Amino acid sequence: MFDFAHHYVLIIVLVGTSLLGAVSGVIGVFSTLRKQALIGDTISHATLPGVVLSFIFFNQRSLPVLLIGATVSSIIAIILTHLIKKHSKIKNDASLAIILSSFFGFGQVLLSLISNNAGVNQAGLSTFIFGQAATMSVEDIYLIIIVLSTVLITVLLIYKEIKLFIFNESYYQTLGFNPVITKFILSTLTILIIIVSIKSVGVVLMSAMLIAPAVAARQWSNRLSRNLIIAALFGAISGFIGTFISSRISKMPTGPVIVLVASIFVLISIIFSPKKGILSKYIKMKKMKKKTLEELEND
Amino acid sequence: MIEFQILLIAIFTSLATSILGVFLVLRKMSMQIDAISHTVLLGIVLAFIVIPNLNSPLLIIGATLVGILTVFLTELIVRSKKTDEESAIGLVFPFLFSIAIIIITLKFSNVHLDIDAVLLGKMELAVLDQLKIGNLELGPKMLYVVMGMFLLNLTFIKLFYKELKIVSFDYALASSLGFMPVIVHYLLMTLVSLTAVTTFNVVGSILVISLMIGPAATALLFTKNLKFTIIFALLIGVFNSLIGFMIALFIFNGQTTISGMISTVTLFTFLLVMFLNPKNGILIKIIKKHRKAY
Repeated sequence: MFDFAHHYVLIIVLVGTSLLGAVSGVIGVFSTLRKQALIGDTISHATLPGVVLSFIFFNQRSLPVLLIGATVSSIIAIILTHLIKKHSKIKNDASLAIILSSFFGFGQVLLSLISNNAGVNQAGLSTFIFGQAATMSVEDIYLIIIVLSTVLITVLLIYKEIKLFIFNESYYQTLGFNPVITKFILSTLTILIIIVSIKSVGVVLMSAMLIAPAVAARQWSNRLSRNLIIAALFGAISGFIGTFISSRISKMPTGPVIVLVASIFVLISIIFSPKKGILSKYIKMKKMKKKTLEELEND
Repeated sequence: MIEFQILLIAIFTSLATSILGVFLVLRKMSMQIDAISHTVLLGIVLAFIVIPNLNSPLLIIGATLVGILTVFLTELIVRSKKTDEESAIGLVFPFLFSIAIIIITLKFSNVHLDIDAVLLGKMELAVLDQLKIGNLELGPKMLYVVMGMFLLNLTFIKLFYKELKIVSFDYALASSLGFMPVIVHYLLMTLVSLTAVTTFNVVGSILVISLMIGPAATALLFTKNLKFTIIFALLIGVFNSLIGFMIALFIFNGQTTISGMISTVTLFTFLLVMFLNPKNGILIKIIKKHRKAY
């Protein structure tokens, strides 16, 4: 069991999922602060038709081609949500729901056209939905590292702009910055990270990777910079522990375990964080009560 | 004949889902159905542990209960003011869904509890299970299920129309008038969960979202009156099913998934109405702009 090959695969997957956790943690902070937490869910579902179409057109399974297809269809999905927001009174949640579901349905239609052999078809789709971390290769790691560095460099370069944009968009606009460009950059980064993650965590669990570390981090600090660092750490640790646990137990799926670990981080943060935690609030209340009672008695 | 039965199932599924969708869209809870339709899987799995029979009605009860639990947990997080509603949804449903997937892969990998079937649904197969009394074939069981679901939802909305209306438009007023919005709310969410579970076999958990939300959102593009919205949502739902079904059958010779086609048509109808809407559609806006330029 402890042969080198086995460990080699495990190490690659561990590195990969930790890095993915870290980047999605960072990006998730932005999307949750913009109250667009579920955009990730929509984007990840919306990639399906693009993946299938690029498979139909180029007839190959090579990763870059499929990724380009995925990118294009998720960009179209985001543009549609913006159009709906601009030209109708339909609320954001409804437009996300329609686009998520219909893009996915369209993807299924396309998929059924490629092959009527249900077996092949379904197997591919279930990988897409649940992800397969165990099949991560060195190339995947390179891809993740490229995306990771792109995200980090962009965030570092326009950190101030992003910060102002998120917290005070109208002021940002009066300073002469174009919010459309900032939105575009943030959306592109979100799409990038989702697309490289889907293969390992899958569509359904992707949204948790974006949201959970960010929400957990939010409990520990009010500063954006610290939020980003803490979220990256939580994301990376969730990826690492989740992968490790699933490698120890046979048949244990990786994506869901990562999500469970990330959810536990959220729970711990909500209860135990020193400033905002439920526990510390409770203790403070008790102290206040005691103090007031004592003061009343002394009077 | 079988095609006609599939069409009927599609239409009644649309009717059953879109009538509830109106209230989800109005109350800005559209993404809640995304959450519920995934987490009910956990209910099915847990109930299956107790009674290992895939046809047991207990599975539906279990699934509905977990659907309600999802709503409850989401609201608990929102009310604790730790985060906003979207994030709360995005925390709760992957968590419950992950538990379901883990249980399935660890315990039931050899049992025929097919996750794909649940997530994707197969309208074409739903028709095969026929209701038989003696030697008499009375049509697919699924047809009766979705018809019953539609009637149940319709009755609920008829009975609680006033309450639903006031809860949807003015929650605070509803509670001060003693309408007990919490009860109405949970009744609605119970029906949403129940509808999601019963239509699983037909459309699956992801496409049920567009069937539920799409027609209602399309109707709301051009109506404001609640009664009209409901009627139009139902009509649009039927229209989408009919067109989607015909495209799948006649253009693709039945070689494609009908439910997938219906949800694709749903988006198209929505975008088309948004574009052509005579009141404030995109086309009208462009024409007006040009006229002004003259």
